[in-house]
Amino acid sequence: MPPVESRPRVFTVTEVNSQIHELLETAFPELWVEGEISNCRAYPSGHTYMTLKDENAQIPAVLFKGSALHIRFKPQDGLKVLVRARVSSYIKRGDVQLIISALEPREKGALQLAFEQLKAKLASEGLFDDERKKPLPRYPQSVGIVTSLQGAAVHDMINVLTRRWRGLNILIYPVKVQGDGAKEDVAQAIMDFNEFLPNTSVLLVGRGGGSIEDLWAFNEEIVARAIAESKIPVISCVGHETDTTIADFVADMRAPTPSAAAELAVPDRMSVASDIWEAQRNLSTTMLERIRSLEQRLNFAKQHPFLQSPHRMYEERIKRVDELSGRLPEAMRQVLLHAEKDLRLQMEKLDAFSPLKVLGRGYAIAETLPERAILRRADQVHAGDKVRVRLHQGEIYCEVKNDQDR
Amino acid sequence: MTKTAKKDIKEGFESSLGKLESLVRELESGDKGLEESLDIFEKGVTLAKTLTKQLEEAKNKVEVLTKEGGKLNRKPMEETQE
Repeated sequence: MPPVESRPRVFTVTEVNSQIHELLETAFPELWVEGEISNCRAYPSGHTYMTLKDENAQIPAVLFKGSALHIRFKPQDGLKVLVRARVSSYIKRGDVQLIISALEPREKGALQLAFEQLKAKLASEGLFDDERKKPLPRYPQSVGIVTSLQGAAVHDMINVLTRRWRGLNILIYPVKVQGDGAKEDVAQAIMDFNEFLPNTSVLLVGRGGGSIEDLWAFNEEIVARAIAESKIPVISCVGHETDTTIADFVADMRAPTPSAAAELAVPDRMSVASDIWEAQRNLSTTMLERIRSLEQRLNFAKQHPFLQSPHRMYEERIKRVDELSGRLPEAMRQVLLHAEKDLRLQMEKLDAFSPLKVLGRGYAIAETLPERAILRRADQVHAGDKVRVRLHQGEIYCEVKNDQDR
Repeated sequence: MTKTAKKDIKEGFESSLGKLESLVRELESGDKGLEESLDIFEKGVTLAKTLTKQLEEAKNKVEVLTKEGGKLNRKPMEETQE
């Protein structure tokens, strides 16, 4: 134990803390420290405070905003990390702490972790749900392309589009696809298409192959959200078949490469032309069949005896008329005969009642004169009246001699 | 040709193709008289010819967009189109 000076120097708390601070900062070089994150809290200021611990010990650590910007994943509790840090202290409280300048996950790559974190976050928001996917138009009139003018991708897309389909308006929106500003560029282009060219049929968003770092813009949240919010259907196409990005999950359709995206965007005009040809052939065969069937019906009808020799129909009629007219005179004769017989019968009947027949039996008919009313009673006449008396043969005129009642 | 006229034709492609398909179905259904069938047939063949011609003769237009002063400008891109 060092001897206490006779006139000991009195420190203020601030002085002690400052000296500790300086001592720590000069004594330790930048260290790599391995540990597990706990009590992790990110503040709106952009600073993140946490505790690093192992089985036996723990130490507070801070990740200031400036350093946090370079870290793509989000530090979270339970994550085993390797940090580069300097040992320092917080003067106001005297707490020893690590000031982190770099942070890497221990068990997987930082990018892999960042990818997984964003994927989980967007998935939980439902951004990858099938119900959100917009159908692609069958026959697009305009295709928007969001990619770099450098590189083969843009030419591949134009070539495939032009080979497959005609009458297209291809609109290229050149953007940075890697490095600083790439994610903002890509997101802005998608938003601009929606704002200024909302009638664009479909958007192709992507780039050719590259390292995972090169493709990273398409794993950024801002790009994912721009795709998710696009009213125009988006086909993503980033890198090669084996590359999968967050953009692919959000897009309405994922294409493995830029060329494949162009193939998905438009139909093949050869196959459409053959569809049209097929339709035309269907029309022709159906029409021919229709005509052939009508022809058959016509032929069948033509074989009917009437149609084969139409005069037969008239022959039948004429024959009938002839027959009828042949029978007519005979019929008429029969009618007349009948009538005659009838007449004779009637005449005979009449004859029987004829008064002449009565007269034949000796009766006479007396009639007044000049009225010629038949006399039935004596008081019909008076003395001096003349009467006519009809006999069976001839008649006589007589004078009444007496009155009945006198 | 004006821009709108061109657009009309392009917009017509999908509906014209749909029309052609429905004409084929109509004719195949076989419930039309000869006169009407011939009419459908003629319409269909004319449509098919127009559509094929469109597929053969229409061109693609490639344009590059640039944003200036909050507006998008279109400039034709010549070098790539074969």
